[in-house]
Amino acid sequence: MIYFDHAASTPINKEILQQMMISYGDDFANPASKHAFGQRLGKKLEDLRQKFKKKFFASDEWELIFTSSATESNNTVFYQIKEVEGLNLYSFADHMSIVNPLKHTDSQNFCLHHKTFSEQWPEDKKVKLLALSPVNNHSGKLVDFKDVCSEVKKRSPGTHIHLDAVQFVGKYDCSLKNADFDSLSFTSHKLAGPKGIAGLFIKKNALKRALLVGGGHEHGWRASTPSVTLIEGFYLAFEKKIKVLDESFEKVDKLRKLFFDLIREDDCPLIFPFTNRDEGNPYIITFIIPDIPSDMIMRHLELKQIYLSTSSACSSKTDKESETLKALGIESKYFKHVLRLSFSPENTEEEVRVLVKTLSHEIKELTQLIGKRK
Amino acid sequence: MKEIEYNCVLINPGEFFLRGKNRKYFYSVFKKHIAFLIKFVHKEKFTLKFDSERFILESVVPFSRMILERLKKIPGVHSIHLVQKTSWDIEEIEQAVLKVPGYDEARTFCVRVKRANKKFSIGSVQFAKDLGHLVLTHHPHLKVKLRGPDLQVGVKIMDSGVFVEAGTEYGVSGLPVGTTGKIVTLLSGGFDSSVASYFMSKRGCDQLFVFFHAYPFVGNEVKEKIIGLVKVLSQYQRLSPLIIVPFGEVQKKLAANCRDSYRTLFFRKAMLQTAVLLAKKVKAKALCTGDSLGQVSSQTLENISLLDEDLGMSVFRPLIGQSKVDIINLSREVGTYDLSASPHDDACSLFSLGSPVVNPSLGYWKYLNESCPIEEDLEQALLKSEMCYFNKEQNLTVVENIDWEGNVWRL
Repeated sequence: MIYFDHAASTPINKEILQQMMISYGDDFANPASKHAFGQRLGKKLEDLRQKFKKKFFASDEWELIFTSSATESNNTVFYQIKEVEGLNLYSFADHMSIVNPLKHTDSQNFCLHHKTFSEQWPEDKKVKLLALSPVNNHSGKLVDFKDVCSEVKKRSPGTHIHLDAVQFVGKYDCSLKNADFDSLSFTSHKLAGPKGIAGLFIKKNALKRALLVGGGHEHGWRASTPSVTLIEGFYLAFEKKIKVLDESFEKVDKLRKLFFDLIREDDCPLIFPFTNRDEGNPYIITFIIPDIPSDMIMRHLELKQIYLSTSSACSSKTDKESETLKALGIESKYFKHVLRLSFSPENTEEEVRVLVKTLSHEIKELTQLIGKRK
Repeated sequence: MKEIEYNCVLINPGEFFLRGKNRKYFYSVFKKHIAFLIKFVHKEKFTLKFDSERFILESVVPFSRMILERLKKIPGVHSIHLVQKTSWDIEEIEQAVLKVPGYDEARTFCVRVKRANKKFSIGSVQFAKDLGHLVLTHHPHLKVKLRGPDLQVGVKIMDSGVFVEAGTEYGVSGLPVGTTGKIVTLLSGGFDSSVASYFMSKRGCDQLFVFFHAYPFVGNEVKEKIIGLVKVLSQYQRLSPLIIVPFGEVQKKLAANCRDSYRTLFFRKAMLQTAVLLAKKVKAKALCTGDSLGQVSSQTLENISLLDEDLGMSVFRPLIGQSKVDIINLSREVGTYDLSASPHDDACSLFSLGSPVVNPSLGYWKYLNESCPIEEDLEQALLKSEMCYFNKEQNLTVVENIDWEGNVWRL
């Protein structure tokens, strides 16, 4: 199997899985229980929280809450400021866990793909929230969020800035030291960790109320018995990733260059709306196949055990995803022709060679079969 | 208002009472189908008796609305009368008559009494008058109207008791399923083929559904859609086996070997031919398609007749003379409209480049069939088929190993 859909989810690291199996067997007590067994797990949990905070250089003004998913983390943030008056700014091209909770609120598009900060910032209105993704999950586009954050804090100190850093953490350096933003979501299953566990860093003064109310876990900010095993798996995965940030980047960057070179060699007719060979984020490459529907290519590749991702199916006429593609600036005639390739450092050059060979073979064959006659 | 409860349903069979010597056979198949359905939707004890050319379905626990709706979809059911059954006791009869729903909404009404058993002490006309008077004292706003009233209350005095009927509802009519034979129905996911299947159900055909799945050219979502359609159509059948034939490879071969404009025609030939192979395997005697003459260019008279020429099996096309608007309206009646209207990948249109041929050249067609033999491919595709059916509780069941020689009809 050749897997190129790491932006969607990653295979779990086998060593971590082993360790988790042991923990699943042993760490079964409730970390909130008052007996020694429970207290030991409670301490393990707090240690893991502290370790995370340390790696993020998070001072005491930050709270780290473990949640079940980045979606939950995002929703938790939106819930804090639900009652506050003002405008929500977010990119219409963002992940659905941002778009859907905010789309019926008083909101505006704020997308750094094609427009600059000052072109879009509404001077005359009170902005209560700015949701930013340092890396857009569809395009892979890397945004210089630090400048944007400091600019926002200068103009409107009261605005809550939230980062959805799911595609960013574990691939780039991420520090909360002197951060100009107020909260950040990240998740385990994009880091070769287990699914069902994610994190939310949020400044303590921004926390108003819990989304899940109950037994008062997570310092009262998220009731639900925490899984120490999942949190441990999450931490180990994260730790492994950040240890080798630069090597991983270089490996993936090589894969990207190779992909572009092979595509050019094969004269494969792809359009790259966001990425080029040498610059930007190498982890995600989005491309357009002008003549063939992307889901058809995806299925032909899946038959050969090669997995890429497409966001739109040619069967759906009222495509929600097309809103995203529109916001990304993709021409409507290409909405059903967009494919996303996302690398991990575990991918090999050989895999990229097989991919390009298969891809260009399938494109040629399908173009002959169903492509528009010229 | 609480809905009145019916513990008895009179089921009038459709046209097959016209049958001669084999009428008994039709009745027995019909009865089995009703019993088959009721057994699984009505968990209580019930009796189903044949009396004076109709079936009497009774239970101590009243039948739900859902059961009545299902009953109306059994081919052969002309109409059902919802009945409160009482003894010959006059007071009991009166109470039942007063419980009949609809007096408040009606302006005119009448009571009709029939005595199948003349031992009942009061004459029909007199008894009708008495009961009518009773209704009037409770609902003074009503007026009696003997011809074309808003509400007609039927009272039938039978040997076994008295039936107080409140309204008649009509079923799909036709012939009991299984009485006319077995056919293979080709389903596409659009409007036409499902409606065609409905018509053949009404003509008493047992159907094996077949779908040609062009994966990887189309996605597996379309499979879900087809299964959904079969579920609706299965209400007019007993069991509804569905065969899903993987057809992507075949279509690829066909497309690569013929002129662009002949693709659709060649695909259709391959599908019909596969359906014939399937029919022969399972001992079905004909095919059914949703063709409507001239609806699209592949359905020209020339194309349809050319395909039929070499088939060696009858193809029933119950919609051949229907307009698209009528077919779509019919699909609402059948219950397939919403599913059929939902968008899906269509392999034929994906492969269709330019306009399909409307008047095929016989010379090229002959050459094509000789230069590109496909029978072996079709056999292979058929062997790789998946099969599923809806069991008695209407749950989808996947058949792991298809036993072609065994009885796919009864499972």
